[in-house]
Amino acid sequence: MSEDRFSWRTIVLPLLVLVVTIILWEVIIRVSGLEPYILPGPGEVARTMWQKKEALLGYTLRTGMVAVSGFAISVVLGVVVSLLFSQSAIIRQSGYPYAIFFQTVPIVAVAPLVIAICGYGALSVIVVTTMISLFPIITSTTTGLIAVDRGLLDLFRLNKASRWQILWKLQFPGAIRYLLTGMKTSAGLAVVGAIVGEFFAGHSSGHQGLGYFILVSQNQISTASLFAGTICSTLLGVVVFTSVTVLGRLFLRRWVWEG
Amino acid sequence: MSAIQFRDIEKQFTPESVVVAIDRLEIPAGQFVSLVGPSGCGKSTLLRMVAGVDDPSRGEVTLSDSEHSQCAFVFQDANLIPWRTAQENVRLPLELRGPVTAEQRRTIDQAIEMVGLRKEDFRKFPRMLSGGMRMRVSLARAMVTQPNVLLLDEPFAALDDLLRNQLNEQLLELWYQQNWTSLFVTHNVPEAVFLSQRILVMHARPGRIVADLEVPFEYPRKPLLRNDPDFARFCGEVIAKLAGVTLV
Repeated sequence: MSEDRFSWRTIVLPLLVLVVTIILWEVIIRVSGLEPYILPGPGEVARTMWQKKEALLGYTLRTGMVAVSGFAISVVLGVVVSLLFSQSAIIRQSGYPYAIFFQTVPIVAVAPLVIAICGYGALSVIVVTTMISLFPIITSTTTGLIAVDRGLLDLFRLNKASRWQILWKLQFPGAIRYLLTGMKTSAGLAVVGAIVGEFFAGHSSGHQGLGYFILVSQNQISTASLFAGTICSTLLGVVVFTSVTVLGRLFLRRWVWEG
Repeated sequence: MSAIQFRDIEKQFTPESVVVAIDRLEIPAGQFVSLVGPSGCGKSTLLRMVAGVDDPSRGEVTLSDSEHSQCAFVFQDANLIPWRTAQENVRLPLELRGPVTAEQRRTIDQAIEMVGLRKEDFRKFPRMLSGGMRMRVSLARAMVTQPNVLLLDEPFAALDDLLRNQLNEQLLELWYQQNWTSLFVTHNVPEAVFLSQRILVMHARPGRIVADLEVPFEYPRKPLLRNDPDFARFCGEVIAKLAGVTLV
């Protein structure tokens, strides 16, 4: 669709909204005279970010690493589970409710349990991240593996294809575009999962990410730092999501056709 | 010698309804036979039973001195794999049989050239090809296994008349060279008459053969045959049988 194509408007219009929002924000702060610890202005936030740039970069990188690790585990695990589900309706019917369990269980409620088992640190954060980002991979890949074109299936059967050949030459390549859709959803969730995981488990000296930084900023009533942490989290989410989209377009182009 | 034999065939999808019922039908090796009939009369089901994709509920379909693996099927939809290039689509049946040899690779290229595709089209994906070109790739894919029975299920139904005529002529030329036993399903009577040596007219509910007509035109057939008054007369005969069938 032409609307999806890259054009100057796709860059300029959102930037314009950003600039207008920042100006309005600054004006409101100056007119209202709000204290910076209640609501700092954009200038104050920018200053804080600049002052803490090295620490913020470190926190963001650590969160990014656990988010990407959890996401990668989700992709591998999700594809393996989906392959199993696609092979038999009995397996699918037996296992699918548990896949839904992962989607519906409140991650905030389960995080302390994960820490009780895995301890404080990066491992627990990765487990929480995996739990939150696994489900979209399973649902979309399973759908793709099952939604095989009947005509193509006839073609394979006519040529006496084995079940293995049908899986690897027809079902799996056909499911790649579904997998990519699931990966895009999971990529965003992985960052959310990593930060939630860090709220609970990221206190150990070995792993201090953005979740930890946000908690500390809250305790110090440093609202400008809270904004800085939020902005870094959002940017991290955008980077992970965009990377998945771009890498998908680069390496999976053949399997992600349109029309 | 018969290449395909049907004996007391019955196909049911539910216990109450018989879709196709054929007592006896023999198709000699190398013959080009067309099946015409109203929608739902079981023409495609008959083809699928010959291919071994569907099994008859009763009776048997036999292919003499050959296995089902030597059957090739051309579908109504070109049925190409979207993530494979034209060349890779044609290669698929050979790939499913085992590693593709250098000689087979030459056969693949020859098959694509024989159906009238150019070298630059080999690496194109189906979405980059026109409807007619996709059908040609589908035909090349059927040819590449060097079948002795070619089953075609309304392969040109979605194409415009001009393209359909062109592909009919090309198919006939290929059949003339390869001498496949061909079973061609179509709704288009002039197409059936132009291509076939024999036309089987079918009736629905249950699907059965009500007329077995020999087409009285010599091969090789030229495009001008379509303008011949005898051609039009024979088409009229087939249509009358078909209309009779429909009106019953």
